[in-house]
Order: sequence, then structure tokens, then C-alpha cells
Amino acid sequence: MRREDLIVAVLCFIVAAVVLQQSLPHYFTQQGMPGRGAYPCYIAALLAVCGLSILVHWLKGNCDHKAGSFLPRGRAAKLLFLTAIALVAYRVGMDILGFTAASLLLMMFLMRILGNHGWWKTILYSVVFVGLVSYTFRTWLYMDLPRGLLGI
Amino acid sequence: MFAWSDLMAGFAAALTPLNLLWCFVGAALGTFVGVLPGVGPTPAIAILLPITGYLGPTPAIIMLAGIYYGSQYGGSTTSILLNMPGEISSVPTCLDGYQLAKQGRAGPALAMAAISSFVAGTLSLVGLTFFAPPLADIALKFTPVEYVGLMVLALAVVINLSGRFLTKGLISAGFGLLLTAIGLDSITGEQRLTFGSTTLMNGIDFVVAAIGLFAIAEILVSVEEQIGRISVMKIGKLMPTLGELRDNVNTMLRATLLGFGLGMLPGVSAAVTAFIAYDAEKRLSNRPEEFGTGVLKGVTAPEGANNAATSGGFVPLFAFGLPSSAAMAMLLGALMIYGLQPGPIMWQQNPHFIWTVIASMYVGNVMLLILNLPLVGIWAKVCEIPYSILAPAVLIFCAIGAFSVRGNAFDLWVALIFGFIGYAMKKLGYPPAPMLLCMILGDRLESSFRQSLVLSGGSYGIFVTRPITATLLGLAVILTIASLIARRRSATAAALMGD
Repeated sequence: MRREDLIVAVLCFIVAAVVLQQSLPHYFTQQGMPGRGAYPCYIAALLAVCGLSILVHWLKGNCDHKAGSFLPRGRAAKLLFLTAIALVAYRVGMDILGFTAASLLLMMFLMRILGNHGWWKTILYSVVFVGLVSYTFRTWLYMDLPRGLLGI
Repeated sequence: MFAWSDLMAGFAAALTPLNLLWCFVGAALGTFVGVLPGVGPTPAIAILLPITGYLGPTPAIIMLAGIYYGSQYGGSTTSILLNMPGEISSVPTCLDGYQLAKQGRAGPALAMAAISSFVAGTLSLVGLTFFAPPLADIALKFTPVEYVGLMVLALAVVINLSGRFLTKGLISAGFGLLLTAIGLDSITGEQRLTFGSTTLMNGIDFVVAAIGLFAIAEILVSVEEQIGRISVMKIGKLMPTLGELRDNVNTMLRATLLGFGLGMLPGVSAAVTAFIAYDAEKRLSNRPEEFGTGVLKGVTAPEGANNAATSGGFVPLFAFGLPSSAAMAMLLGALMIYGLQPGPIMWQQNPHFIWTVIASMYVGNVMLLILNLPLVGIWAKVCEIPYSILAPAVLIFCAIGAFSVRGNAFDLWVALIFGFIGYAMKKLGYPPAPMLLCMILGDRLESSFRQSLVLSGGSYGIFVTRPITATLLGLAVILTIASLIARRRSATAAALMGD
């Protein structure tokens, strides 16, 4: 167990509380049988017990106090952070630029930061790959991928 | 019951040009994802599942099953040539495979891995052909009450076998079950845990969640590990000698029996069987000290066992509708998407479909032998694709896969969020497999549970008075207690070692 597990325990308690608050009123049907709220209540109870178990472990000292954050440091942290940001931007960009343009930008960005490829190679590979994928799924498989505000 | 005519009809359908094509595509894609470190069969199936909607159920399942068993073949290539397992189930192959490659015997090691995979894969398919139908006949007698016991046992096995801490597996399963509760109640049709959101009324799709949990999370972990350009060992002469083949026959047979038997148990993954087979072979050997220095049997045993386990995993899937691993859970989900109810009913309603899929697996194994013996050089080249090109390409396919499930842009956010959750789970030691399994089985568990209570007039006693259910639930409890004791002992031993 490590420090972050305590956060998970708190999360378990919060989720369990919210689910119980939402589901308890619907625990029984009018016929007195378990209703739509029963199943979520059992799960909430399970999560609460799990949260409690982590807490007990922590209080008993079964934890690795020396363990650092689970997030990396140095270059690995930078790459991970940039990739995560790129993914969020990709999702937002898909609504604005559409699938093709957003995918092109994602591929170019990741090729540059993960592999330090030259610009020409990056652009060539990205255009060919995204073009092929986009054409295949849109034209052959009739998939209506997001077109964004620009309609591409 | 099994009938030769059914199997022959299955072969006739599997050998049609279209099904052969998709079988080949599945086998080749499986080998491809098996070869690539960081891309496994579960994310590959998750990404491709929505796209296969254009094919129809039979070719789609033939292809997806091909990806699953094909990945076990491909996993050995990187283990032997790079000391980097493409799949977890190929980790034990590294021990002797890489040593053989360093001695200039990569060719015989690769050939033996392919031959052992083929023999074990084919023999265990024979087991599947004969075992699954009688088990399905038994399953026909199961009521929702027995299904509750069976599903609880399956989930208990998966939770107990995944990760160091039982609590973490339980938390993963708990959140998986909770996610299935979001949306419309399957019995009354009323809203549940939607917080007034119309988007959440449709629930969280497990395919989208799987794309995030397995594919996107894996990419993030790999980015962090900064996988760079890889240099591959030379293959050299390919085939082992006749004497070596003869020496390894018994190893292949033992690996098949072990892999198939263990593979049928829910939660016992191909990886676990590969380790057990390697260890068993070492214990049985007259020269156990040679294991780890470059012994062909050290390649034959795990590769045979992991392939036999994949076929063994189809037995509970086809007979009871229960998946034994995350990849199997995806296949179960695929069957459900196509409106097929995996389990005994499927044998009655769609026997032709099942036999076609089984027959295609025999054909797929032959294709994989061809793909992995003469063409092994090509797969070795695949390892050299830089991760900086592969990662964005996989992410783009993830986006297509997530979007195409329901044509809903919201699902792209869901996949992304699950990607980040999956990354944190991996880093903190929370196994994602129980979450996925629960997302797929959760609905069925709940409806069986509530139907059971309706049958008993609301009495929970029905779960302990029915002998089969009581036995299954008892086994789940015993397993959990045994697992807790084992974990406590290993923790105490570790603490003593530390002192």
C-alpha cells in the first residue's frame, strides 16, 4: 500500500455515499422485492468495505511511506505530460478541426516529441497514414467520423 | 451433443473464401499485435470490434478469435529475438529463448516455438471440440440461481488471481459493477445513477472503456518507459534437428494437457499457464540446472501451454458464456453485440455459427504455422517499427474504435478518461481485468440475481439451498480465504526476508 491508495479509499467512500444516497430510496419495489436500487446498494457496500480495508491497512502501518509519487520524473514525466495534453487537445480539436486534421496534428506532434524525427519524414508519414486511414474508413467503410467546424 | 456432421459443416463454412480471408486477417493481425510490445490482443480486439460491425457475426468472430490466438504465436518472436516479451504469456520464453538467440540458435528456437504452438493449439482444439458440447448440455439445466453462483465464482477467481492485494482487485471489480448500473435498469427500464444526464441514460459502453483501460493506458505506460528503436538478433538457420524435435514431443504433450486443463478455469490466464508449464518442465528435467541457459524445452513448454490455454478458455465461453480472461471477455462482448447469447442457448439456436468458429480455429492454426515459420523474418522486421510512429497510429485507431461503437462523440471523452484511469490503475497496482470482466458480466449477474429472488419470493436462502449454487458460492468463499492466507504468508515471508 502507498500514499495514493489512501486517495482511492476516500474515493471509495465518496462514491459509496453518493450511490447509497441515490439508490436506497429505490431499494425495494412496491411488491417488496429488491428494486432498481438494490444492486447499486450492494456495490456501494462492497466499495465502502474495500475503502475501510485500505484504511485499516494504513492505520496498522502496512504501507510504504518511502514510496514516491507514482508519476515519473525527468524526461519520462515530460513525455507523459505532453502526450496526455496532446490527447486532450486531440479530443477538443476533433470537434473544431474534424477527425482528419486533428489526427494529422496529433501524429505529427507525437512523432516529433517521441522520436525526434525530421520535419519532412514527420509530415510525409503523417499525411500518408492519416490520409489512408481517413479515406479507408470514410469512403470504404462509410463511417461518419467527426468533421468539425471546417467540415473536413 | 457433438456430431461429426456439425463439425464438417463448420469446416465447409470456414473454408469459404470470405471466412478464410477474415481468418487470415485475424491470424496475421494477431501475430502483428503479439510481436509488438505494448499492444496486446485485448486492446486490439477492443479497437477492431466496432469496426467489424460491417462484416456480420461469423466473419467478425472468426477474425477476432484469430487475433486472440494469433497473438500467442507472435509473442514468442520478440521474446526470443529481443528478450522483450510481446505478450505477458511469453515472459518465460525469454529465459531460454533469448539465450538460444545469443548462441546463434534463434532460428531453431523460433521454429520450436511455432511448432509447439501449433501442436498444442491444434490438440487443445480437439479438446474444445469434445468438451464444450457436453458441458453446454449440463449448462442447459442451469437456472438464473446457478448462474449467480457460476458468475460469482468466475469473478472470485479473476479477482483473487490478479494483483498482490485482494482489496485492489475487489475495488477494480466494484467500480466495474457500478459502471454497469449506470443507465436504464434492464428490468424496469427506469433511470439509475444518471444524475439527470440524457447521455448517461445509454450507460457506459464496455468496448469504449476497454479501449481506454487497455489500449490508451498501455500507450501512456509505454511512452513513460520511452521505448526507443530496437535492434533485432540474427535468425540464422531456422529448423531444429530431428533429434531435437523428437526430444521435445513429450514436452509439447505435457504443455498441451497443462495449458488446456488450466485454461478452462476462469481467471487462469495464458500467462499463468506458461509459467506453470515452464516450472513443471524444469522440475521434470534430468538437468534442471540447464534451464535458463538456452534449452529448447524452455521455449517449447511455455509456448505450447499458452496456446493450449487460449483454446481451453473457449470451453467456458462457449459452454457457459463465461470469459476466462480480459481478451475472452471482449470476445464475449462481441458475441453479445451481434445478438448472440453465449452459453448453452447458443448451441441450440446457432450451432452452425459455433462449429464454423471452431473449424476456423483449426484452419487458423495452420495459417499461423505458415505465417510464423517461413515468414518469421518479416515479423522480426515489424519489431523495428519505431514506437514514435506506432503510438500515434494506435491512438488514432483508438479514436476511430471508440467513436464507431455508437457514433457518439461523448464516447471519445469516455475512452480518454478511462485511458488516464487505466494508467493510474496500472501504476498503482489495481488490475484492470476485473473491472472489464465485471462491466461485461455485471448486467447478467444483476438480472440473474433479481430473477432468483423473484423465484424465491424474495428469500436469499435460495442461494444456499440449491446444491450447485451453494457449492459454487462455497468454492468462491474457500478460494478467497485460501488466497488471503497465501497473501498473508507471502507478506510475512517478505517481511522476514527484509529483516
